[in-house]
Amino acid sequence: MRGSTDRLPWPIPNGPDQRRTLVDVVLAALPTALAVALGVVPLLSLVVESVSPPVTLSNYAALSESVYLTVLVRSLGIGVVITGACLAIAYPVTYWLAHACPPRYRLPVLVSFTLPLWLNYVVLNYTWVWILATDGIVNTVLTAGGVVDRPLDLLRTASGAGIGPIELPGPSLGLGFVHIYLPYVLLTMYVSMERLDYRQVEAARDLGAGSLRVFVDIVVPETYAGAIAGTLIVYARIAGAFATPQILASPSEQMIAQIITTQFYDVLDYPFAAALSVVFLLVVVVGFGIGALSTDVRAELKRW
Amino acid sequence: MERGEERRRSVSEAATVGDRSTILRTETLTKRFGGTTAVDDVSLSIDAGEFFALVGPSGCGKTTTLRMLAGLERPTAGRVEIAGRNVAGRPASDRDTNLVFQDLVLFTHMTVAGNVAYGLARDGVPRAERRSRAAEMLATVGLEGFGDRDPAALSGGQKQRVALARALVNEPAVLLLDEPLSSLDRKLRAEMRAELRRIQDDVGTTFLYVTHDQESAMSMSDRVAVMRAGRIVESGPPESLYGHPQTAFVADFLGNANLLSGRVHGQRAGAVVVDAAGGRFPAAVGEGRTPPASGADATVMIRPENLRLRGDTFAGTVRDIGYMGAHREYAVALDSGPTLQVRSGDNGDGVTVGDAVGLGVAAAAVVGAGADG
Repeated sequence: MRGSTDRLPWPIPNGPDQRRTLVDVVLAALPTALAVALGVVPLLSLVVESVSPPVTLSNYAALSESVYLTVLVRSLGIGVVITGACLAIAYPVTYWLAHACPPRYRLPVLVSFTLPLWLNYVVLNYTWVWILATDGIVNTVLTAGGVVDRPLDLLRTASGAGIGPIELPGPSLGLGFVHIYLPYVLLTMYVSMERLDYRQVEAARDLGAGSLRVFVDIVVPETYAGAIAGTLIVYARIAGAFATPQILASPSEQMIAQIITTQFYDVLDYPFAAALSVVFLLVVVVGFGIGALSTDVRAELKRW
Repeated sequence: MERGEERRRSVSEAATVGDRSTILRTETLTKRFGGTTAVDDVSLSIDAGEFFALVGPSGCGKTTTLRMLAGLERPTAGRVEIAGRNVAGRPASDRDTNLVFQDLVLFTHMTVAGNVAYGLARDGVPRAERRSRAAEMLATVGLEGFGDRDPAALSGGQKQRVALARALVNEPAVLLLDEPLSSLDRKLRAEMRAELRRIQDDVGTTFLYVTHDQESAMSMSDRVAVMRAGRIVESGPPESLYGHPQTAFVADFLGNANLLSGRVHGQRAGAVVVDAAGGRFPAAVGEGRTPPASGADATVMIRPENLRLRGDTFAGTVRDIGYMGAHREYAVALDSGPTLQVRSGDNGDGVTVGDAVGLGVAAAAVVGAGADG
């Protein structure tokens, strides 16, 4: 068990004893066992369930029905739109916070970013019901102010708009998602933005770059790893969200997690629900893997 | 594009106005941060093609001055004129100055050529011309063929050259340099000083060089301005500042100086005879300055290299000898009290610590009445 010390080019004087003791083994084994028991075993049972009874791929074949594909594509698309919206907000806000905000306000602002994380997200979602309902705060103000004659349908309405296969979420679904996931993107982006050397911005300005050029030429290349790390953190959670679409989506905006839940709890078709889950997981893991290929992104993720 | 046009316009304008020699002028330039005044009423005038150094101890406001000239800091008050136009309210992107940063700040995600061509791209120069001008500039700074390299893979001296090329390539009216050599070791720094001079001769651009290193300032510059606590104390050619400083601060800052208080004994052509520290010797008066009257108090500066270990002006005892390689430095305690630094190239002189010696004065200068050091 002296292998680890032998790998060092020279011994560390008075360094910690590199030999593993029984205590070390137990300390390492406990969390590993816990991670396997709680993470890998349920996942395996999910895969086993998805190919039963007894061994069949018919559950996966049933997935090709267009209704499920539509929901899967919609979920992935909404994930893209919401993640994009979070990044679009986080870029200017974190740039300002890291490089323009007076230092003494920096911590309070940073803490205020995390406020939504302190509340249960179901509660957060219901605040938007209260805000956007027909008799909610927005409509009350708008009608009382005479801006509109009739209350607007803001809650649980689909936008109906889209770009190619990507559907844009309705107002309540979009707001609810951004409210919940923006803090994660803000915090990841802030770490990156803080390490952006502001003198690079000054150097570009000095050489004649206007604000847009500075953003494209300096800010984005120097901080894109943070943007990708933020994306990896929130994307799967948005695309696979259950509570937010359940509370804030229109009936025509069903998302994948809602379908899976219906199959588990109402239809009681466990193998099919399991197959849906596995496919969603695979799609996300492949996307994640592509993102994590970049060494910059790996370095950024290690900080989290 | 706009910058290129503006440059041509401003040059022709300056030419017609007739004030062609002054490229950069500041008037009562002032910067306050909260309650502290970093730059206080600085008025400078720099000629086209000049190598001008702004030198002072750290915290004296020289970098803030430079940043105001670059447009990276907004002046609290005062004017900044470049080629006859007031640019005090303009942003850095809209000024005909480029800055070489202290830490260089190369764009790490671009190649060397990408760095150098960046300013050209922002001026709207077409791609093909950009490439050839960047390559040309790299050759000028001695980095021919380095265009495709990653800046991170370059040595310290090479990075300096890239930073210089990047700032020079779009021919700014004034190149501002913020102590770019301070991170280099002594030998490389000396080499880069000579290089900077050569490149400046080559391209003919006006250089404004900010540093705390008086050696760099004097060895490269046509003129030097010494700053202290936000103000310019003195400015002029390095020889006259070093040889005939008007203030004790400048005398001391630009090199080792023995400063003695004395009394004027009599007048001579371009000099006065002074009694100080028990000796009587002539001290030069700076050109164009009125010599102090006989009997008046005067502060006299004697550089260590202008004292000899032979002579009878002063008598004293050797207290310490420092061997510096090319010369020796002696601390000689005079019988009259003060201790003088003496620099001698003589190999030893057979003098050892504790010996009684006589000192001769080769050259001394009267320091202006405004002694404040």
